[in-house]
Amino acid sequence: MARAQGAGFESAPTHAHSFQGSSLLVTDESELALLGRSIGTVPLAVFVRSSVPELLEKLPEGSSVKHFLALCDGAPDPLELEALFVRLTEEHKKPHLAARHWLGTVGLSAMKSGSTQTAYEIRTFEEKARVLSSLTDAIFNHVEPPHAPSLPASSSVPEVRDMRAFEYARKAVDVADELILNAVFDANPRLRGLCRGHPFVLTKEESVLVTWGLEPHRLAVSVTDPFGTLRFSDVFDQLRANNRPTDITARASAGLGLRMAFQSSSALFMDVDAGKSTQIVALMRIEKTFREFEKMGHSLHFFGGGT
Amino acid sequence: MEAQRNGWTVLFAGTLDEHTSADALRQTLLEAVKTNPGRRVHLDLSQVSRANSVGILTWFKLLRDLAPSATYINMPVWLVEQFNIGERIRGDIDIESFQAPFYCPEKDTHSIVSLVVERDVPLRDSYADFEISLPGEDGSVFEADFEPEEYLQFLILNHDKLKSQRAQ
Repeated sequence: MARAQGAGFESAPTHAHSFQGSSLLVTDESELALLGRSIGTVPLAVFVRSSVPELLEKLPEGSSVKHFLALCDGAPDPLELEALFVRLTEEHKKPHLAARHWLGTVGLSAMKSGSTQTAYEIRTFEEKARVLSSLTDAIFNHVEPPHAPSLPASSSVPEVRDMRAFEYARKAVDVADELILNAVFDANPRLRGLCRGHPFVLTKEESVLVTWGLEPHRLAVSVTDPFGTLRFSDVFDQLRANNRPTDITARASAGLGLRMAFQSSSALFMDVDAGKSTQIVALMRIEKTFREFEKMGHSLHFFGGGT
Repeated sequence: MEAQRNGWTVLFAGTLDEHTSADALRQTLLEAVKTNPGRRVHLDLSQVSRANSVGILTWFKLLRDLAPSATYINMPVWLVEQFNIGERIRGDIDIESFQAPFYCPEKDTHSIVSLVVERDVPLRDSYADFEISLPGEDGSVFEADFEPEEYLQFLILNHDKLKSQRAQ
């Protein structure tokens, strides 16, 4: 399929882009005045030069922006753009796209041949632990340590391991864990408000679907609940910079979980079919170094749902 | 997650999550405090592979309730990231050393190395121009595999507190 090119995206001041029948209006975060206007049905995306939490604080009242594209060296991630446009195209064709098919549609269908996809349904505490363990194993097998480690002479810790696979696995499992906890204890009205450490047993209809896919340079983890109760205002409130958990013992951990998932992902795609399902897909670039991973920043996309 | 006491150091291992028993951790920490009067308890979480929000909440509530005089040693990456999200270091808690990712381009190898505060990394209110690299045994060089201004944010956020801790 044709690729959306990150480097070809002009940011100043505002440009309309079309890709395979879907349109997107893209502007820069410096154009804050525009961000408060109504722009009809064309989705508006903004290039983030600071960070999403900081930009959320600066958004004018009434802003309809729900797509925040992180920039690296002045350009968005082409893989993320591709996922965004495929999703927009699908929305154009089918307004109520079943969320459970979305990871295949967006996150992984564009992946190279040989990519792997795995899906699990979670109904209990124990199943969550088994799924997270399987995800860890999958990433360990996927991200090969290139060489035996060499011990830095000045290290204060005698044990030094090759940590690339370990750290990416940890990040992905952190993301999956937090999204599952949110799907169980926030989305489900029956369990909402319960202590998140409480053992849970879900009915078949309440079960949480966890899917992941791996290809050489990225992985995607998707968590879907069958409730569709997530609102953009909740996401806004939990991620904005001035709402940082300076003392998490004084607040519920729901917001902390979403913030942890956001910080460990290259991009979070949230897809809400109100009253029916919420799917959150975390895309992670598996960069050669963690410094490069951090430099890519973090993006956020929200589709559907309430305000 | 399990806790094991070795003198005034408490070594934690496992995963910090909803399965973690706060009572067991509390017991071990209390023993370390009681058997070493006047000493700071060293908290070594380097063998804790990961934590979720439930476990992190348990951990910080435990420290809040016990209010020990304690020092983190070999603070793992996941806890550094947690402090970087915004959580402040509270009470009589210091940081002696923390772990950080390093990368050797020549060997394409990643390592986690423990850095000592004020020996390897000075306490500053900005790390915009800070760089650090470490020599490997065979002459290769390990570069910092993190953006200093971002990864060392926890030192910036707690700069005044850590400075005053050390002045005492």
